[in-house]
Amino acid sequence: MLHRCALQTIASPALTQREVEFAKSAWLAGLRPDQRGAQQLREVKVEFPLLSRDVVCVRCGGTIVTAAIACELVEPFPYRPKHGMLEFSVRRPCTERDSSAKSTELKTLTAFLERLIKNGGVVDTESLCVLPGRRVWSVSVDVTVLNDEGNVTDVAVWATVAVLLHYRRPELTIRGSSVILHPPHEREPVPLSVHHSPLSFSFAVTMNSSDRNKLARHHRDNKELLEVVVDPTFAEATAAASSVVVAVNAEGQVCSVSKSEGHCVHLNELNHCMETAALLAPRVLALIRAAMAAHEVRRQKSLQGQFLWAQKRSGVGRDAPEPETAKKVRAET
Amino acid sequence: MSLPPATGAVELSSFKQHVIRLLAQGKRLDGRSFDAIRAPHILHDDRQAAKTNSLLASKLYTDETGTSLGCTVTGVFGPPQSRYPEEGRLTVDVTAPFFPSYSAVQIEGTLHEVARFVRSTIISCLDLAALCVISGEACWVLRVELTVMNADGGLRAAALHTAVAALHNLTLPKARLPSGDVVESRCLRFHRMPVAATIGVSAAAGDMRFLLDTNAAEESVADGVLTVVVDEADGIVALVHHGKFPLLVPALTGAIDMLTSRSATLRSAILKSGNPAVE
Repeated sequence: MLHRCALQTIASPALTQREVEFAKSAWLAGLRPDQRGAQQLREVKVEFPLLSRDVVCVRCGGTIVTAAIACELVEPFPYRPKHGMLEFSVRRPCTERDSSAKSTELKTLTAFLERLIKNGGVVDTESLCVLPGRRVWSVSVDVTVLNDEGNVTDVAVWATVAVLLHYRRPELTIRGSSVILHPPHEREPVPLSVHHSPLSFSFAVTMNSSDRNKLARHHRDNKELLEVVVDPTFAEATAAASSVVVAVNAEGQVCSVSKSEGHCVHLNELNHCMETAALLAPRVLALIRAAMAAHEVRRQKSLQGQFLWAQKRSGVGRDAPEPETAKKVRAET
Repeated sequence: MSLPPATGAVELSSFKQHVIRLLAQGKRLDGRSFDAIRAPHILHDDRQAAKTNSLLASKLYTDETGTSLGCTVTGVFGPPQSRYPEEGRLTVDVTAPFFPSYSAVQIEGTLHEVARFVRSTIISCLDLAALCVISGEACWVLRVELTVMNADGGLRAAALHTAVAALHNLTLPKARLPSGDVVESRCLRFHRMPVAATIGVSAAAGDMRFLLDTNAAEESVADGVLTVVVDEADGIVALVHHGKFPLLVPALTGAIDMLTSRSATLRSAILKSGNPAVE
């Protein structure tokens, strides 16, 4: 892993060119450089590393992205007094060899996240309003790209959606114009109102359609060229003619389609991308739900362990008032 | 993203209700049919005396509802990017200084996104290797400055048309490098001519209807907004879709067919006002 990352960082243009040529040759033969299928993701792993609910770490092969979420009560903007704030920031640890284009990519990714989740209605900003014009929730999601081996956009979106689904904000009590913020041990925190869960998938279109037609005329055999591959690695993204990003929610509806640079794509390729994304979205969402359930089990075990320790500790020097307290605690649990 | 409609003294929610009622009756606010476009008019500024040393082109984009964008292209010599030593450099900036009713924070993100969209689409259609003078040493640095003077929806499409009209058949003049070498003049050409339109999806009364070339009022009430850029062979150059309405395959097909049927008109309007000096 580290060696690969080091090679990635200091790779010479000649080495990148060799990888690009190898990727193109593999596509002509109907294969991918790392022997995956055309519609196969790398190994996806979602985990919540801390006991708190506000940090998630998503791995997709060698790409690792963490997302952290925080919220606080702030005063709203004057022109939108009933809407809360939802902010995204994407950053990566930079070395001195990174060019200035990296910050442009991060800004593009931040704009994509904002467009997909904020403008797409994933989290209703009106539900973040506490007191109109005076107090609203400001939710900030901080995405950190720890390692980049291609397809950072998808992993960042998965991490953001996972942390939005799993986060719990503190419970509030509003009396008139005063707001009482309850800590987690007083009242159970409240989840955010997430309307749907869009998961994005990047596709690399291997070559121009006119080039593919020429090659089809040259090679009369029935070998299938790979037209569209999902989850491109760094070399595949560099070798691709163009890229398409499709965001699909759990019901199979396409929330966002984005195609920006490179050669033209046609409707059949775009339909193929959308159908593949609709197939893959429930699997990634199931992984996220499984990670949330596993984290909940781990949290409960940890809380029970702490409670058992406190119970043993409170058993020392038992006297008359203690059993009543113990009974109350047991009744509450 | 789009700038919110400037409704003047009319309440915004009342204005939206009015537009929704009109759309339910099959009408649009400016009387167009659902598949009609607003024809662009692009003016070319050919006053040679007003041009400075680095000003290469100046354009003004207007259409029938008063959208107005100015575009100036300036070119200087500079070093190429280290990642792409064989290519020139192209930067796009979008400013909107005449919108006092909006705060700067509110529209800054929109303008940055429009600039990114225009730049990526132009890079897809224009070979930046034509801007290379000496590989790895010197190249043309073109700076496209778009000034939004009035906007009425479809800001991405209008900005792209303005920039494409300014850059198509642009003559890079004969110039001298600081090292003394003389660079001959050349003409920039697009190998694909992109045309764009913003298409709104309205799901009122149960059925799905498309609004071609939406204005600001329709964008504020539409369920989904789709920006499609196509070329002469009807290939999709760029596609941006966002909104709460899920995009279905028939919707995408219908939207692209609606634009391709009008793309010849748009392309001729842009090409007619190209730079007159062709060398």
